[in-house]
Amino acid sequence: MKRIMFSIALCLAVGLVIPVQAQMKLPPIESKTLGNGLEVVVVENHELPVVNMRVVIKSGSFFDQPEKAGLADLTAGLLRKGTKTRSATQVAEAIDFVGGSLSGSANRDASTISCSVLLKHFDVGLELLADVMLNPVFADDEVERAKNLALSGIKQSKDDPGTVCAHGFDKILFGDFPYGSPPEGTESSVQSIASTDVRIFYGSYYMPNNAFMVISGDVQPKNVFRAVEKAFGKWAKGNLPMVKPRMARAPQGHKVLLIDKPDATQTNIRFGHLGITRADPDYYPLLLMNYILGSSFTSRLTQSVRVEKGLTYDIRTVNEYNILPGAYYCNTFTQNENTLTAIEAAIAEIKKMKTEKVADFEFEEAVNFYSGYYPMSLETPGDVAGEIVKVKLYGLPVSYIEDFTKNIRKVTREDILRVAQNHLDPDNMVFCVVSNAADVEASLQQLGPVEKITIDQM
Amino acid sequence: MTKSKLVIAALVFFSAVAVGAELNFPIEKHALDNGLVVILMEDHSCPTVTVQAWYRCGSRDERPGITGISHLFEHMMFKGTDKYPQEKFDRLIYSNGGYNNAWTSFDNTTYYEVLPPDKVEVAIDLEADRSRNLHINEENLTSERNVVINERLMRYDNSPFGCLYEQLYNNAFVAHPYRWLPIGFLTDIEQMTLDELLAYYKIHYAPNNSFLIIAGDIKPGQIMELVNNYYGPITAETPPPPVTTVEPEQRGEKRVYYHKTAQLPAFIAGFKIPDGKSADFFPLKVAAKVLFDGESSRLYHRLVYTEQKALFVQGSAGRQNDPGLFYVMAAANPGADIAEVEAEVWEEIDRLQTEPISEKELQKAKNQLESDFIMGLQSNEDRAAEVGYFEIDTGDFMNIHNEAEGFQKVTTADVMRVAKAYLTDMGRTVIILVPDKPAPVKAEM
Repeated sequence: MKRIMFSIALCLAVGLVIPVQAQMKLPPIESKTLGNGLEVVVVENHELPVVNMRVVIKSGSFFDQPEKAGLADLTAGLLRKGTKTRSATQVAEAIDFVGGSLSGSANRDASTISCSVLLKHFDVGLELLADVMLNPVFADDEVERAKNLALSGIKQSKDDPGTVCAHGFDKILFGDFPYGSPPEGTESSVQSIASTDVRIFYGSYYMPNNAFMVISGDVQPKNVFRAVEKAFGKWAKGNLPMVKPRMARAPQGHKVLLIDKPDATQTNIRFGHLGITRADPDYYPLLLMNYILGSSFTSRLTQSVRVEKGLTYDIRTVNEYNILPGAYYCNTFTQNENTLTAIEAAIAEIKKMKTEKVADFEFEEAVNFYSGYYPMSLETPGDVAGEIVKVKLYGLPVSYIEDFTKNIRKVTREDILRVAQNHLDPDNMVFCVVSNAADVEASLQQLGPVEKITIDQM
Repeated sequence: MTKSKLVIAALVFFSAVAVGAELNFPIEKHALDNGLVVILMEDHSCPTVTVQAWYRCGSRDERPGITGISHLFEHMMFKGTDKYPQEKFDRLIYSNGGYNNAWTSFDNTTYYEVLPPDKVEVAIDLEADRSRNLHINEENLTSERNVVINERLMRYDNSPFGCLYEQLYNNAFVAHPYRWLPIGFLTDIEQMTLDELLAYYKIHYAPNNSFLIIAGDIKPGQIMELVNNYYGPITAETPPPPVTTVEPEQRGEKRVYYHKTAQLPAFIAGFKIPDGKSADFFPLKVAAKVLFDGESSRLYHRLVYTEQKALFVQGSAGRQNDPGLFYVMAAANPGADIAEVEAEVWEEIDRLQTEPISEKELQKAKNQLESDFIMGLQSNEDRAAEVGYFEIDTGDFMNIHNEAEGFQKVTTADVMRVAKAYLTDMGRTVIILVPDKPAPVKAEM
């Protein structure tokens, strides 16, 4: 016991002296911008003969009109459903034959098209990726097919109370702000998408000056740049449409959305308010504050609600890091009869976070966790590529990865209290609860006005 | 101090030369006098070490009345010891910049820590300590029991697909403990006693019933010194009783119509297949690739793409210690008939039995298997888990060396042979999800 505690102390002392880079061991990273404005970043990792490529379009479901939510995601998924020279089936045959994967999807901030292959199939993978990116045709029958599949998927996701709860929460928090609809859209919004909408979305946002590419794995940068130039060099630049900046409105007071699921024997709960953006200067103190409050297994919420009270299998707080402020929420589930008890126990911990500085042992654990965890989290070429995507998408400094641990160590306990006081607002929150309304409605009235809907109304 | 024995003289390497790519991951195997096997995989490419403690016990080692004990016990393993009480246990891992967790399956229970290289001793100490000195009592059992009940409600009782999956095992097996899932039956979770948990712990968590895998930025000599230091003094126990029940042959299709609130009808089916040591796994995996993997696979292309009758169709050959299941699952799109979807799945399986797949399909399946295998080795954690499952499922982790070569040897005739032998109507269990729509509730604003 003593020996181990001593080694922690030693590590802390040493951590202040040794430059953080000494532990980082980042693989070689090179980047180059093609003539058409496409930035290409290459991360070398020669451990396994694997290559991962991704093209990121810096426009995601944020650009969907609310009545056509799901358009960005549908467009990304449709890229591989037929090009000027290949049918959807031929694309599928080609990528499956080399044992690779090729897929596109959109989240709020970006549309990402990824392709993974073994090194020996790199040429096939890159050529297919370029073909689907540059030459998609969006045939009417393929759009119809993709829409039907998306609609069926949305319908089926209503059987997952966790998903219903997440969507209900976004709906009540964001309203008609674009974050209020899920990236895959709703039944009515997907229904209203026409193939011309898909072509217009593609024409408006899929251009090299609105994109970047990250290639990671067992590759030589010089060869990759040459191959990418050949495959993507002819992608034409364009002018991006102007988008009027908008912000979501913070909730006032308490509001409860109760989604009735009469067969539920367990209640899903998500509540919260707006959070901070990925580029916010409070990112590091908030990361540590959130670790202590609810993102770790040793968090106050897990200790109180799971370990001590046995009320749930999982409780956590999450800040959704987007370009614009997303949600800061607490998510959990419990037996129906424990719904209000679990919510109140969680709110008590959130309030406490704002009133006093965190304990030394909590603070040190959080700092040490991220200092050790972050370098380890960049193990595979895909992990490093994922961080580079964040740097590009959120406009973070290039030194972000190497400085991460240094920035974590700059945070003080006072900073943590300050961000808790500035960003946690338990008096002004929305709650989404998915449960058998007969079991929980009366108790939820104690939180605030309750709006009750059925799952079919989602 | 007990000296470890290096069981194999030289380092061995994953060799996948046959697939055109040389993968060099050294694996060393050691054994302690108390029976603990230690597998070391040295790799300095990233400053991280994974420590995995594998116990050769899972729901396979349970009996009615204590179903779910392996999983509930997994939760109790985080309740601390005298040396490291509960509140210290996880904090110690996290304060050293690491993380930890565990999982329980049919044949194994596995705990792991991932730490920076200079902190590996913390994990070895904690794992050795809790393998023998766990401190559990009525109070922490009561609260953890409720945590597990909530886990069961979330994963199974409130999830139509969770219910289907559980029904498949409940119905496919009659005698063998694969009849229940690792989560166990609700009333068993509610009622099993502290004494039952302690008895389970004593025999199943002995060093002679477990193995360690330590992978990553390590120096094997140093690691073995630490392992000897912490595990050496622990004594072996009488081994747990062997699982002797053999599932009797199934002589006819079993079919269940399972009613539950759900948006779309669906079905899951399972066919009995041999245990993980069987060489027939290679052609069975090829068959699964041909049917399910990728948008050009036979069933995706037919049911999801061309006819648009299914939202998804999936399946695989599950490798387990004892004979397990080759499963297939599909959900019907709104307006489509699940009976038709099911019939078309059987048509495609019949086709595998009556005509050889094309050479091109065979090559595609092999390319997919090769790619899956290599992509699955990218992190220390995944690599260690892969090696651990070879040890559990096939009885010897060294079989990982035959994997790449094994599927390259498969012929179209092999695929036809295993489809005929195992994917038969006679040995099939089918669960149909019949959606019950809830009575409409009037909305109030």
